[in-house]
Amino acid sequence: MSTLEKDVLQDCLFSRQDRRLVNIKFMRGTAPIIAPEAFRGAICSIMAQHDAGLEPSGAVKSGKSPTNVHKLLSEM
Amino acid sequence: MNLLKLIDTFSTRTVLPVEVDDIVDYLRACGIMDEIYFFDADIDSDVLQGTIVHWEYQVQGWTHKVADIYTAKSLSIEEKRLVQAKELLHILDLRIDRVNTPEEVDALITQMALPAADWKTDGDHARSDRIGILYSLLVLFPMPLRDLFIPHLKAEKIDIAYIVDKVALPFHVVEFIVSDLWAEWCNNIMITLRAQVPVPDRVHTFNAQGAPIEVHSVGLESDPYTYAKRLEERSRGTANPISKVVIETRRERRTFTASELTVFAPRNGRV
Repeated sequence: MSTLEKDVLQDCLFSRQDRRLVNIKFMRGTAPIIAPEAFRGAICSIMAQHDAGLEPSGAVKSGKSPTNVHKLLSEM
Repeated sequence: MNLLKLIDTFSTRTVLPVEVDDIVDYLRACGIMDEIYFFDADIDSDVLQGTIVHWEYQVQGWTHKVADIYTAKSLSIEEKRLVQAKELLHILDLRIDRVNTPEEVDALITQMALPAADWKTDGDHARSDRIGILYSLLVLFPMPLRDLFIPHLKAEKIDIAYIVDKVALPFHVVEFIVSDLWAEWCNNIMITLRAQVPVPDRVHTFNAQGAPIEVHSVGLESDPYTYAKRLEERSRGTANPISKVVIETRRERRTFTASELTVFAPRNGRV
């Protein structure tokens, strides 16, 4: 990987004076082989989308009605 | 607040599905006041399904924490729930598991880019990241509820699709959760989590006559030696100054006189 890619990622996460990174974690993609460069690129893309005004979507809702499992299965 | 407590609490639920907002509400009820935002990001889910970026902002002398959780826009609702829950639980990461330096981020990316089959090469941070998905399964599909479905599944009164509909998780994930292998893993995970429950360090203080004054439980992320040093400094000039302390940690029990504490300098340089 090139120094440039590392520098870009570092800039995404560590350049601002008013904030400090507390923690970062990832959910890996499903491809069997992922180049670290692609991984870095995805993170930088996310940061760029955020800085460009990406709006929060809220937590995803299941869309299912709540089911009391005890009751449901005891009646089976 | 710790992960074990959260898993135990959700284990008492009787209602499915567990919504991601239920977890957020629980964290709020436990006093976690970090701002939490979820975003749908335009990223390739073959490369990255989601991430949490946890920041500390300094604004006009105030510090506030913000957790930004991103998921790939292309994921299904069921997949997004899993990724959001997994990333959300990282808010509870212990300091030792947090990744926040350029070197740590770089190492984590290098290791996470490897497929799961290469777990044996993982460092502590990557291991903590990968195991996060298993913790989220224990919250989104609590084991006591999973166990209720099993006899009906074995009797073929229901099928996996029926459970998927109730729990709102991806089919292949539910297929795994109803397996005997998951029951075994879950048991091991819970044993490990219970063994890791942090025990606070203690500082016992004594006066010049050797009589005990107080016993203090030290905050889980505080240094007991620094804590004892401050206690001793504060007691100077009072009617009952500290003459000796016993510092009790998981690893050792050491006695310090007041003068030894005065010259004590912690290894990490913070006092």
